[in-house]
Parts: sequence; structure tokens; C-alpha cells
Amino acid sequence: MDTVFGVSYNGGGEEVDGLEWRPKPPDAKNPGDVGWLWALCCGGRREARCPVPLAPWCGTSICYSHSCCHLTLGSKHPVVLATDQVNARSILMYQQNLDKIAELSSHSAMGVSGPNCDLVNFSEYVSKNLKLIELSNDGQKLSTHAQANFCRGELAKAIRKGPYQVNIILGGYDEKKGGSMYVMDYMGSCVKQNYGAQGYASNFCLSIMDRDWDEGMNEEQAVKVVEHCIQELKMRFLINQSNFIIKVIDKEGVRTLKFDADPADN
Amino acid sequence: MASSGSGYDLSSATFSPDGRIFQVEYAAKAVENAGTALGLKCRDGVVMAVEKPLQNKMLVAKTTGRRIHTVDEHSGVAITGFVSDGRQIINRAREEASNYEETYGTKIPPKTLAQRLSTYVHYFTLHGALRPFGASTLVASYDPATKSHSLHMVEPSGISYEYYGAAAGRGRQPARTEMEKLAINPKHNEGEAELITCEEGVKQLAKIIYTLYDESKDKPFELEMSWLCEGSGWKHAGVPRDTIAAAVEWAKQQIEDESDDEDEEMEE
Repeated sequence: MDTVFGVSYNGGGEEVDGLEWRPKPPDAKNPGDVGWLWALCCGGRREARCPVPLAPWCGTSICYSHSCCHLTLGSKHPVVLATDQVNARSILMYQQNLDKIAELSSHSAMGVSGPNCDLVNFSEYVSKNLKLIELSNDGQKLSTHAQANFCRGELAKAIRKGPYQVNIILGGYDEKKGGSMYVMDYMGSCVKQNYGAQGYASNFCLSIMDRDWDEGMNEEQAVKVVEHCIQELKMRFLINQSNFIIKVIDKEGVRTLKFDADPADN
Repeated sequence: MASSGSGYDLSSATFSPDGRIFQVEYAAKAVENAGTALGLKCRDGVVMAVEKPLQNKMLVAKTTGRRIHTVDEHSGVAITGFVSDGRQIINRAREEASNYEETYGTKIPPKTLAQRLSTYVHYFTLHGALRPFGASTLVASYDPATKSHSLHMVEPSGISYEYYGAAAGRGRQPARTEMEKLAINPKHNEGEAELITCEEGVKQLAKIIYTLYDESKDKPFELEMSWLCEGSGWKHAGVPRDTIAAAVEWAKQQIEDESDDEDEEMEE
């Protein structure tokens, strides 16, 4: 029983939310966390309410998983984004080399976490719209702040219609301002932060970044902190996410620093 | 007057055989009959001025409709031509600016605002059921992202350009000649440092307006001025009335001195 629970939970145990398409407000902060608590206190009972066989949409909501981990670091200069490369649903692992950091423009990118459908749909929607603005307005580049606002607006508009179940960290480099980073969630909240994490990663990594982040870090140091976080996840996080991809955004633009599995290998 | 339309000027949806759309040209003529509007891009900001002829001796002075309006904190618009048409353009500009800020969280860049107004004005030249706007719009705007200020002018045809000095309305030809004499174009001066400041710009615009004014022919007028400069914190604001009054004094004095000089020369 516990194993069954463990496995399905690993697949993205938001069964709490699986029962309702739209999460109830108190649980919605971090449904994954609540699921975790449920696992700890009421292990056995959960399987009676396990929605796997129940209704077609439940399958989708299980894949509404925060099991994608997501770390970022921004300082005066470069922004470093990292995500895991897992694409999985329920008990199945589809691929381990997914690139979840969508490049929005020459100097900005956003790391996205959530079910693959919304992940791909939303990131393509935003990046193509931003490209359209560039093309329609004589090559005018939007600042990171503007891009983040646009993104947040789309998320906010969708929550009462059919939310994009994605959590986003958008990072960008502006010529005059330097690097900046915005953390957004699926309901349209948006805040500018120096370091952030979405998904389960936050439980492990925020404290690491609290300690290690410093104003005026250079790229090398920032990448070291991100790698420290990744190490921590690999050691302590229940879900095995062996592959991570790290991208850096600096004055030169967006570039892939390293990946554990080549996203192009498909 | 140029060639008569002879049948090709009934709708803005019709080209003439020589490739003109007469309705749009007639709209431009409507602007030419109205009070002069001037705009000047100075070193530290943009100044705009509009001459408002007082149509009627019965009009209560200083209450006539404003020609210069603030579109957003950082941009302002001056209109000349059909004032009611201009009103529509101003409302649209405000909507565009407000919309842009809601979507992108930043102030609308000057070029974008000018382009949006351009597109809007142009739309009305495409349909037979609508008539073109009979108003020219000067747009003074500041971009906080690039820290640069600019002046654009949108004409009834939907064309818009960025200018160092722009003029529309009755006295635009002589005004342009006068503006060319001012130090506003960095190419013709020794770089930026030599360009005039807004304070100077206010005085020069007042002088141009008064130079163009012919007491015997033109109606008495009110002068409306605004600036968007470092001094105003990069916010579009009306030039204080006493500053305008001082500028007008100066202008009148200058004009008198110049005409005295001319008389002296003639005597010699």
C-alpha cells in the first residue's frame, strides 16, 4: 500500500488536487506539499481516494506535477536558470532530456514547470507573441520587466477561464539595468527576486540560496550555487531527477551552459 | 488651389488618375486653415505651442478649449485643425498608453505611441464610409527606458515622422523657415552641447508665433504652451503662465528691436 502510494505519489502525488480540477485556495499554494503531508499522516487512507482509475481528467491532473524542479539565480549581472529535464506522467517516464527553459528573445528566457501540455503551449505562446511584437514594431525589444508583465497578464487572464498550470521563472538581461529575474505562478502572481525556486526544489534549495547568494556575485559563483542546489536535490529529493539543464543569460545573450542529456537527442 | 477633384474626390476610397486621394488632401487643407501648432525638440526636453485664435469677440478669454493635452505622465499631445477630431485622437492616445502600461507594465515608448496614432488616423482614410481626421497631432514624449525625449507629428494621412522642429496649421511654412535658424539640429551644430534648452525654446516659439501674427489680418489669439523636460521632472506639464507672459514680452521686444534694426538699415 505504501509502495503503491509512494509510486503514484512520485508520479506527481497531487491526488488532493486530482479530485478537483481547480485546487481549493488553501491547498493551492503548493499542492505538492500538501500531498506530501497527506502521505506522511494518512498513508493508507489515501489509496481509497486515489483517482487514477476514476475519471479521464484525473490522469491529467496527476501530471499537474511540481516534480519538475526549477532553480534560478539573478544578480547584477548574469541570470542563471536551471531546470530538471524530466518529462513524466503517472508511472511513466517519457523522456529525460527535455529542455524546459524556453528562450523568449535574444536576452531573456523562462524556465517553466508543469504538465508538458501547458508547459509547451504556454512557452510557445509567450515566445511567439514577444517575437510578433518585435516584428511589428521595428525590432523594438521589450525589457525583462515588460516581458514579465505580459506573461503574468496572460496567466492572470486565464485563471478564471482555464488556467495554464505552469509556474515560471523568467530571467533576462537589459543593457542598462543588468540581469533581473521574475518568479511567477500559475495564478498570475509575479515578484522580482534575486534567487528563486518553483516546485519541490524550493523546499531544498531556497535555504541554500539564502545562505550562499551574495550581491555582486559573478557568473562562476552563481553557477556554483546552482550546482550546489542540484547536488542537494540529487541527494535528498525523493524523485530521481538525474538530468538538469543550466542556461545563463548575460550581456551576450542566452546560452546553454551545460546539460546532463542533450535535448536535441530525440 | 490645385486641380479640382472632378469626380475623384467624393470618397476617400477612390484614387485619382494621377495617384492621389483627394479626400486626404482636403483633410490636410482643413488643418492648414487652423491656428499654428509648433513643436521643438530641445537639448533637455520638448516644447510645444499652439496659437488659439479667438473666433468671437464674445468669447470669455482663457476658457477656450485646450489644444494641448497630457496623454500619460511622460507624454503630451498638441492638436490643430478640427478640434473635435483632435479630441478623438487624444482619447485614443490615452487608451493606447493606458493599455500598453497594463499589458507590459512599462510606459509606452514614444515611437510606439506615434505609430499607434498613425495607424488609427490612417484607418479612417481607408473606408468610404468614414472621413479622414481633419487634425494634425504633435506628440512630445519621453522614454524612461532609454532616457531620450522625442517629438513626432502625425498628419491626417496617417504619416508620422520624428522631428527636431515641427509645425502645422496656418503659419507652418514661415514657422519652418524660422525654426531652421534655431540650434536644434545636432548635425548643423557642434554636437549636443550647442543646442538650445527648453527655457530658450519657450521664448523662441513665442517669438515665432508673434512674428507670424499680423494684427491687421489675423484674429486676436491665446497662446498655449507645454513642455516635457528635465526641469519638469520629465513630466508633461503646461508652461507656467508667467513664464509664457515673460516669453511673450521678450518676443515682442525682440521683434520690435529687429524691425528697428531694419528701419535703421533702410535709412542708411
